[in-house]
Amino acid sequence: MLRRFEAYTFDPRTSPAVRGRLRQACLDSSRFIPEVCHAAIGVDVSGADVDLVWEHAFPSVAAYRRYMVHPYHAAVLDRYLLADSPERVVVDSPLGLGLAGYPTASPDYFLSGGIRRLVFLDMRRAGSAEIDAVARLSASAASAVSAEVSVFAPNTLASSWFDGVTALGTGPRWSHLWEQGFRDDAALRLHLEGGGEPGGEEGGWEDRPGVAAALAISYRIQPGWGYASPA
Amino acid sequence: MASANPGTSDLFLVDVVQVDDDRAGAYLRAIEELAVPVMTAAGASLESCRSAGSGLGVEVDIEVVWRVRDFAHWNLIRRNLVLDPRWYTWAQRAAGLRRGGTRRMMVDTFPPTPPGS
Repeated sequence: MLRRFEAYTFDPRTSPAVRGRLRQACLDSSRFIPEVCHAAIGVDVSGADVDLVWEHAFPSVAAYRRYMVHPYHAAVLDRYLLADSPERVVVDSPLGLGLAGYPTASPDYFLSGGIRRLVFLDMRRAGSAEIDAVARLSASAASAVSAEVSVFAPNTLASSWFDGVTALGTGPRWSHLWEQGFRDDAALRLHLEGGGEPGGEEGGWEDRPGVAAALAISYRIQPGWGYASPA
Repeated sequence: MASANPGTSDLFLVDVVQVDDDRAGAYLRAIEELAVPVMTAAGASLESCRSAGSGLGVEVDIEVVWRVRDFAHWNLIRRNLVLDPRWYTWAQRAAGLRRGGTRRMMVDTFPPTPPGS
């Protein structure tokens, strides 16, 4: 499978009505493109300069490639997104986000409600021991009572956006991604205040070896069309 | 109009934008100097460029139509555009000149295909 995110920052000159069209197009994506599964959107509640996140997945690389040439993708979704489109409602991400994602063997990310939290990490210069240490943090969170979802992975799809496999251009701003899911705000607080990840008096992410920068966003999941079960 | 690719129906990227009358000339020049080079290098061809209302002092509509073979071809063109810094220059220039507009992907539909064919 391919897990994928697109994070959007709205052009301040656009109206709520046209922004709503992009939101609805994302929510309806599985209805019109069968290859898109577990599509949901969320409005950032963390205060980051992100207005909308579209999370979704594809059962396979082949499915992703069919999505890439699907008319709904080109004619509807891209109408609101491509840089030269007269109907564009977004601006280039000031945070270097845009598209992100990773391959996964199973839908461990599945969460049809609650709070999604995405921690983007710049670990481009990190060694394997430093990366393994963050992976252990993620595994530890996965076994804790607070988190429903905890997946740590290289952000490979940011570069291989065209066919799901081949890296294009320079490497992504955020080399790794820790995807988390919580049933509610209280569970998220428990994770953050309970030492689930770097923070507090012991220092934040940037004090952690191998992490040059970090960015966390979180949003309440609004499931799209057909988002019912992990299958 | 017949398809440039026998046996297929080409796809048309149709942008209709609204521009203030005193900016219409600048928008058309940007199409010629910025859009045409980057779009053709990416694999699209300029099908037509028309305007309505120019010189009247009212808002001008400009319609630009690009021809591509199909959605798979458009996907390759889109990749080429995303990787070409000139595309962002064109996009920024166009956004600064227009008031609004629409984008549609269209195919030839006339004469209509007879049922069952």
